[in-house]
Amino acid sequence: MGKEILAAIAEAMANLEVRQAQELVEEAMPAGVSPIQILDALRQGLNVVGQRFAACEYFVSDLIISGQIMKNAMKALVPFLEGQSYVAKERVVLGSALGDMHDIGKEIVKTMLISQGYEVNDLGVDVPSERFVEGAKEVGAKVIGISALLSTTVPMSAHVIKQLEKEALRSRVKVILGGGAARKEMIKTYRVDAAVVDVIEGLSIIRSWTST
Amino acid sequence: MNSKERALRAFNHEEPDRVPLEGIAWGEWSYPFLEKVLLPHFRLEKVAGSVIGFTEELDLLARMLGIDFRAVSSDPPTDFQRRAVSDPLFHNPWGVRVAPDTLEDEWGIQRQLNATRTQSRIVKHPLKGVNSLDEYTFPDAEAPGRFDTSKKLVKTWRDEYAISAIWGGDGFFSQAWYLRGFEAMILDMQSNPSFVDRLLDELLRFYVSIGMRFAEMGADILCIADDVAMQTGLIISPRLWRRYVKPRMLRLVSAVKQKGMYVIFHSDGNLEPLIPDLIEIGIDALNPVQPECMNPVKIKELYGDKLCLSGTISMQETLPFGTVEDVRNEVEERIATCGAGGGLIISPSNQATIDVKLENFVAVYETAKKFGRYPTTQPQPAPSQASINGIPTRHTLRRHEGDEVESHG
Repeated sequence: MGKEILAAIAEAMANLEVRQAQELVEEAMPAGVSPIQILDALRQGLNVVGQRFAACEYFVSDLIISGQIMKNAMKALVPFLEGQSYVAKERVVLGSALGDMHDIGKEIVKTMLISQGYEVNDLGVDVPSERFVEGAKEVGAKVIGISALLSTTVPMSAHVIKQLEKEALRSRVKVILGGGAARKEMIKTYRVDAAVVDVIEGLSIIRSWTST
Repeated sequence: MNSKERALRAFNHEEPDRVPLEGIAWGEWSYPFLEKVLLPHFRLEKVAGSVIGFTEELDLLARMLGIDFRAVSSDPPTDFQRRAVSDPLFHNPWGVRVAPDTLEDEWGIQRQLNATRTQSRIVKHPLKGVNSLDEYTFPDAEAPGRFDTSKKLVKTWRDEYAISAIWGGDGFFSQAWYLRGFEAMILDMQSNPSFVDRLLDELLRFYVSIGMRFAEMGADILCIADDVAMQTGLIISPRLWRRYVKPRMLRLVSAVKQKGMYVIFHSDGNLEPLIPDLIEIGIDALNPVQPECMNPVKIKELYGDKLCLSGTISMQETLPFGTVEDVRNEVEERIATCGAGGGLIISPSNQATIDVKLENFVAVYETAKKFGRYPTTQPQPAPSQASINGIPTRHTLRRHEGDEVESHG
C-alpha cells in the first residue's frame, strides 16, 4: 500500500495533477506512510517535471503548477514533519541582479534546486550586492546565484565578489551568474566562478560544487 | 516607392525596392539610450512646447535612420490624463503618482521603479485576491480622449508611412497576469477557468473596440505585444495558450483584418512551438525574432511564405558587444538569407539599452539601406566606410524637406 501510494504521488506530481496529488497526500498519512517518504515521492515527481522542462516538454507555467502542488502538500505535511530529521542537501542564495526586475529564470532554478533537495534563500529581484552576501551569511550558503537578463545589470556581480572578499568569505562561497545576459567571458571580467545561460548546465555546476 | 508602399509590400511577401526598416519600441529600457545617446548625437534637442512630447523628435530620428514605420498608440481617457503624469521610465508611462517612484495606471496596476531607476516592476495587481470580476471596473475603450493624439498622428503619417497601432499596453496573457499576478493567473488557468474566461473576454472586448477605431482612422497594422516566451522556450504551455489565448486572438485578428489591417505579433524569446498557431489565426508578421532564441533562417525556411519576419538583429549580443563590422555582417547575412521574396523587416530585436554602442545601432540602418536593395540576388555595392557621419542631421533634413532621406546617407 505504502509503495503504491508513494508511486502514485510521484506520478501525480510528474503529470501536474493538482487535485489528485493532494488527495493522495491526504490519504497517505492516515494510512501510516511517513511524511518524509511522501516528501521524497513529491521530489521524485518534481524531478520528472524538471526533466520534462529540460526536454522542452514542460514550460514555465507547468513549473508553477508543480510548485503549487508542492505548497499544497507541504501545508498538510509540515505538522507531521516537526521533530523528524530531514536535512537539506545544501543551501543556495538566489536573486536577480540589482537593476534587474526579471525573475522567471530565477524561479525556474529555484524550483529545480528545491526538487533536488536544496534549500533556497530567495532574495527576490533588484538585489544589491551587499544583500547577496548577507543572504549567504544568514543561511550559511556555499553558493550565490545571480540572475541577470539585462546586460546592463551584469557588472554588479563584480561587487558581490568584492564584498565576499571584504568579508573573507570568497574561498567558502561560489558565485554563479545565470540568465540571458550571462557570457562565459564574464567569468574573467567579473571574477565569478561560472556564467551560464542554460538552467541545466547551471544546476550541474552547482551540484559539482556542493557534492562532497 | 515611399515608406508605406515599401513596408506593406514586405507584409504582402512582395519584394519592395529595399528591405523596410522598423524602429524599436521606445520604452523604459531604451529611454536612457534615446535620451542620453541618440537624441544628443543627432542634435535632436527637445522641442519646447511640443504638444505631443517627444513625437517630433522621434519622427525626425526615424527619418534620419530611414525607418519606414510609424507607431501610434491609444492613451488613457482625458479625465485620467488630468490626474496622471506620463513618465517614460515606466513600462506603462501613464499613471497617477501614488508614492515616490510609483505610478498607478488606468487599470489600477501599480508599478515602482527599481533601485537604479532603469526599470519598473509591478507592486500591485488589482485583481490579486479578488474572487469575482464583479468587484472590478474595466476601462472603457471608447472613453473621451483615448484617440485624440493617435488620430492626429495617423492623419499626419498615413500617406507616407506604414502605421503600426497598439493600444498602449500588452496583449491577453501579459495584461491578464499584470492584473491578477503571474503565479495566480497560471493557477487560475489550471483550476479556475471561468474566472480566466471572463477576464480574457473583457480584454477581448476592449482590444476589439480599440482595433476597430484604429482601422477606421487608417492605421495599417495592429500590433499585439504579448511576451509568451523567454530565452529558451515558452513561459505559458501551448496547452494553456491554446485553451485561453488563441481563440481570443483569433477573434481580435479576424475583426481587424476584416477592416483591411495587417497584424503583427510581438513576443520576446523562443516561441517556435506557437508559430503554426499564429499563422493559423492570421498573424501576418512576427517580431522581434531574437536571433539568440530562434534561428531566423529556419523560421524563414519553415514559415517565410506566410509569415513576415520583423527585427532579427541581435540586441543581446551584437549591438552591445560586437563591432560595427559584426553588425554589418549580421545585417548583410540576414538580408541574404531571409530577404528573398519580401517578408523581411530589419530592426534591432528589442529596445536598445544604454550599453548599446551608438555606432552599432546606426550601422544596422546604414547597412540595411546599402545592402538591402532588391532584388537581393543582384550584385551588391561595396561596403561603406561611412557610419554615423553619413546620417543626415536635423538641419540637413529641414533643408531638404521632402527629399528622400537615404539620398543624404
